[in-house]
Amino acid sequence: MQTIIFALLALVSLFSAIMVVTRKNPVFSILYLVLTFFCFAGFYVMLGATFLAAIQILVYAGAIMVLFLFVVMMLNLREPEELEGKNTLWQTMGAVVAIGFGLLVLAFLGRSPGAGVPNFQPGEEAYVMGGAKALGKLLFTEFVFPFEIAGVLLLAAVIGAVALAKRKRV
Amino acid sequence: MFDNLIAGMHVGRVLPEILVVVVAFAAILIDIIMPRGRSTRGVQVVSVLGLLMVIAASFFQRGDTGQAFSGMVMIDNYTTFFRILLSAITLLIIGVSERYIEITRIRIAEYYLMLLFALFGMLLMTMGQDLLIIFLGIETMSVSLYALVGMTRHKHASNEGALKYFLLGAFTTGFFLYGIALVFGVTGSTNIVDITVFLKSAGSETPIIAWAGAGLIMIAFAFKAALVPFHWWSPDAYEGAPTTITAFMSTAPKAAAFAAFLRVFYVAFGSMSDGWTMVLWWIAVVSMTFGNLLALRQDSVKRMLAFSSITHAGYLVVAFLTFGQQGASAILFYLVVYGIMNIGAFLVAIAVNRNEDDDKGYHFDDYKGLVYRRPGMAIAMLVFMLSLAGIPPTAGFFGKYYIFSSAVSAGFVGLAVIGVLNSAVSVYYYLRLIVNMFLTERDEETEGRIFWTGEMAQVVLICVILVLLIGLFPDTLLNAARASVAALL
Repeated sequence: MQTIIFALLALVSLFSAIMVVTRKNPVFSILYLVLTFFCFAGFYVMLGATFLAAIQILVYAGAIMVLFLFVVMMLNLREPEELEGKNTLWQTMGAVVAIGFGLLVLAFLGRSPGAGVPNFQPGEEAYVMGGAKALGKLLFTEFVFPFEIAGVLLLAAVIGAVALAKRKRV
Repeated sequence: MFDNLIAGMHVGRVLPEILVVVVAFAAILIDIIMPRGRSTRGVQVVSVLGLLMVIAASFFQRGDTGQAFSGMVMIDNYTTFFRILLSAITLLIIGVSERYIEITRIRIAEYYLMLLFALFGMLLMTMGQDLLIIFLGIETMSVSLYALVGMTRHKHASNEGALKYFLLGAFTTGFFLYGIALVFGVTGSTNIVDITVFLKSAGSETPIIAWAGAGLIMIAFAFKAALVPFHWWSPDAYEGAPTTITAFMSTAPKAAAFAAFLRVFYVAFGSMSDGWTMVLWWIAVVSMTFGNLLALRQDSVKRMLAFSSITHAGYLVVAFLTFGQQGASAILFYLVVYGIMNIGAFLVAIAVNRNEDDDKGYHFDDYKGLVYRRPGMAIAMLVFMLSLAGIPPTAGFFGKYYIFSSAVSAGFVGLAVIGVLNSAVSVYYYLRLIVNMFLTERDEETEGRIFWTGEMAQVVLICVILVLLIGLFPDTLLNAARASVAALL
């Protein structure tokens, strides 16, 4: 049963991810991106991280996507004209690299992942409250340093963005 | 239980990093509190004082080595070396910027703030013992740099450079994360120590996914260090950025990138060295050669220095792939020397440049007969150019000597020969500037007003003295570099 659900989710997320990059109308791209994010939330649920899945839907599929849609609609983007001087050389190179990566992935699938690869089993605690408690505990003990750094990183990004975007004072 | 937890974190060991953040926060407050006209100056003063404290703290803390935050970071001699180097470079750049950001019409305190945040990110990269910390460090540094490149908003080149850097940089972030994910999938950890243990025990049976992960991480580092073929962003970003930032970007972030690169590949992926040295061999060759060929064709001194920094990164890779103490200490030595001489060269370039708003500035012709107008400045530039070209008795000579001799003693004779040949080619464009300064008549038409401040004069003087001192007595720095890498290998 689990395998079937996983396969379904994987197929849908792959399909929608490909649609994101191939659609010409940016609004469709974004809607497919929402679908991709929902599939990710499904993966989190399957791993027992229901809290993370909820966050994924709230933040990514919800807030960030709405922001994207707003921007696209405000800019009033239509279907783009054909890109100037369509560079077939670059396209071919891109295709070659993509196929190469695809073959690499197939090569992984073909062989066993190697000796001694650890098998992760989430502890009992992880399932309580969808893992929120375990997550919080980890964030403020083992991962407190990266957590704090992420705060500084966001602050730097905000200040940088405002500095570039705000009206010039003379 | 809680007390034990805090004590086990060893918060005190990351005091310099905490100081950098505190200084940045203080700077934000000062920018808000002080009246508009003077706040930028106030922020600069606080930043300079703060950075002096950071350097002092790093220096006096050098004995307190060990892990902190449950193995997330590692404080050792290697960290201390880079802490002092990176803080000193940032200090120099902040010190000379006051008048420059006025004439380029940046004039906002955020300029200093972003430099401080970039420094914070770089410090994390040098001490991170967990791929997560290194990743966050790279991001903090990059986000700050994107903003810094685009600071001169009225200039087209600045916006273009920032956008290119941002888009390609975001793409690189993906590479790095995917690499971490693959390595985590194989080894079950993002901690460098755990990864090392796992890969060592796997021996020759290294899972192919680990190779893919290491490869993706290598791409990300090559991008941050501007190595061919991942260098496409660098000429535009370097040219578009305010020149003080170009001087900063070509020295400090490059040093930080190599610091993290060294720790990750020498320690975590050390057992896979047979594979990655082969790849790096080619990256070294094309970086040195491409950087040179492109630098030869430039008419702008700023672009020439930008392309030549790709070549210099190539030299560093030569020492990198020897995978030994000698090579690693040569890298540290060269990073210091390159930082000093490059900052000096960029400062003179700022001084001579005719008009900051002119996108075609920094022309070689501006230097015609400089020795008759400003003999001191011309002599300083002569020292920097000779050092960049690697001619004794300057520091650059010993830098290159250590790099190529480490390559020879590790058996990479062919690579060393290619490196020396490239070094000979590079003499052409450095010499071209010297000829313009010393052997050409003054040309009234190309002459512009010299932009020169007391701070710039002081920093250029310090750089000249250091280049000559290290050139005459390289042992002190070399011993410091050796002691630092001993912690690594």
